[in-house]
Amino acid sequence: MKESAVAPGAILEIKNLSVVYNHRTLGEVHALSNVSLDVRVGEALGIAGESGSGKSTLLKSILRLFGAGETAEVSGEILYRGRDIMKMRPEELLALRRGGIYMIFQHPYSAFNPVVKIGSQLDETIRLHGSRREAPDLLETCGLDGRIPDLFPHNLSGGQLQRLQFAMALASGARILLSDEPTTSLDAVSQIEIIELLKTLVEKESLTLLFVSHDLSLIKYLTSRAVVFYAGSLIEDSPCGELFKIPLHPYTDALIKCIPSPDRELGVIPGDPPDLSNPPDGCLFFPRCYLASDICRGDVPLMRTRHRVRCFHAGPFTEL
Amino acid sequence: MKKLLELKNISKTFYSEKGLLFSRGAAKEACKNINMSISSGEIVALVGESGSGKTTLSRIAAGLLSPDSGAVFIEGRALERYSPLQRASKIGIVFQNPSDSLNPVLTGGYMIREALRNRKRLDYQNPPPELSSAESIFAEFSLDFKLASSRPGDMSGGQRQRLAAARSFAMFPSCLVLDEVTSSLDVSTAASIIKLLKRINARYGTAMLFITHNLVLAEIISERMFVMKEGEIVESGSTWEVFGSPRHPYVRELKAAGMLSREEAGASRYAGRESA
Repeated sequence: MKESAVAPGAILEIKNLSVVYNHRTLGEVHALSNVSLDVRVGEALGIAGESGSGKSTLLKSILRLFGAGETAEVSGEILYRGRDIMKMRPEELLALRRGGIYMIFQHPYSAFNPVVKIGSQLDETIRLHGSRREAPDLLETCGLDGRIPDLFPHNLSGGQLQRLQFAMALASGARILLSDEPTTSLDAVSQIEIIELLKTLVEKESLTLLFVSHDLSLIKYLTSRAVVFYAGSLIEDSPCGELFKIPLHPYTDALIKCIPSPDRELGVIPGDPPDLSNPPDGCLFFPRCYLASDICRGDVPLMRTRHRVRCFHAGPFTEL
Repeated sequence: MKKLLELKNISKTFYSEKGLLFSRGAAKEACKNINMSISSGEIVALVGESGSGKTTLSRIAAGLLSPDSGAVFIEGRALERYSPLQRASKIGIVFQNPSDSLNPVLTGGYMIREALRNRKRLDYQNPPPELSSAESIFAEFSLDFKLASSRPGDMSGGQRQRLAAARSFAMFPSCLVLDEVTSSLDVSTAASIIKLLKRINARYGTAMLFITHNLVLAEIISERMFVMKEGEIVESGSTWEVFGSPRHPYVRELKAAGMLSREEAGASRYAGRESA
């Protein structure tokens, strides 16, 4: 194991990660290409992008949650506290999934065993991890009623189950939370409650959070730094304040304009994302970009160093 | 304005299946004595959280569920007095999840052509001539005509939702009921569908009942709105009034929830200016 190359304060370092899926009909799908990303301890990182942009694939590859034969190729390094997850042995990986990194899934109903009472599921997690915290304490921290252990998952609402996933994460003693669109299946009011809870947990329990969402407004509210994915590449990475005020990539700019708001005309991005089983040459956003020129057609733009952005014509943009 | 769709004293109660053989289980009143009307050509939003009864109401309005009491009128005539085909030419519905509402074994083109054929069987219908072919309907909904030969499984979520809307629109109904049509989609795809619906409304005067849980979205698309909670309409009025100065505490809460996304509203518009 390489222990030396740890960036100061980085808990998770992703280097040149590429993932290629084996698709039944489409053949090889390039879901992620050459993604490099550092996550610092205690940081809340937002991951934005459209469906199919590789956000979930990124989270899945951090825990190596791929089925047998699902991927054709996974390359690159993912260092958790300096140790490469890609090279971990099965028992190390199991320890990581149980202790270090916890994944909160989008559909809470599929995250629990439907025929086991919630109390037993929670107790099992506490026992397995030797957690010092008791179930009532965990439930209270996550804003859940003390009578919940006697119920089955189908007795609870989506919002309650999502809270329960947080309680499970705390019980496991996880240091990093990966949450994949945790509020998409909830309505506006419970969505805010969950986001508030997540915000409190990250601050109080000093967890590191990777928050995937296509809803930029939630990312802005919850996280301090955001990365934007488009068609499997990371195209922009900057502190939230800057990203929303001064987006540098034309795609980020367009995406921000798509958020419904009473103050401005709703923006639209023309066209569809590229076919990742047959990715085009040059910049992937080129066919939909209003700034595109000949250079975008031929070359793939490199990542700029400071406010990281991958575009030949990067902003800031004035009134468009 | 002429009343197009009227819901009068609609009530609907569901019973859970837990009851004994012939007795009914716990009752849930999904709609309590609801009155609502939509004039031709207007977009009305119905806002509420999960379980507030908005989907039940939308299904009753489209004739997919019958109310326990009360009645639905379209152009002054009770809904059940129309034949199913006539009804489809008056009111169309688009569901939340396009993957479930499209037949997976039919091609996009077949679905649209079937609707067009059905429309021809109704001689009193008078759709604009430019909407008489499947090609024109596809173009109207910004769908590539190549998709006419593909099945829903090969389309993206946005394309499926456009196809589902196009299929209902192909009957050229005077009113479309849109049940959370954007909530399973990305922000960017959702934005393009909202724009599309507004364009259809402006060009063809199709009235719309737009159901959503997002108050800000309702503000953008509608002229009037109704807010539903636990089966009752708690607030109604022009969008400007309801959104601008909500009276009911629940609506204020919804607005605060929606305001999260409002913070950065002007941000990108003024990008660069602040840095200069």
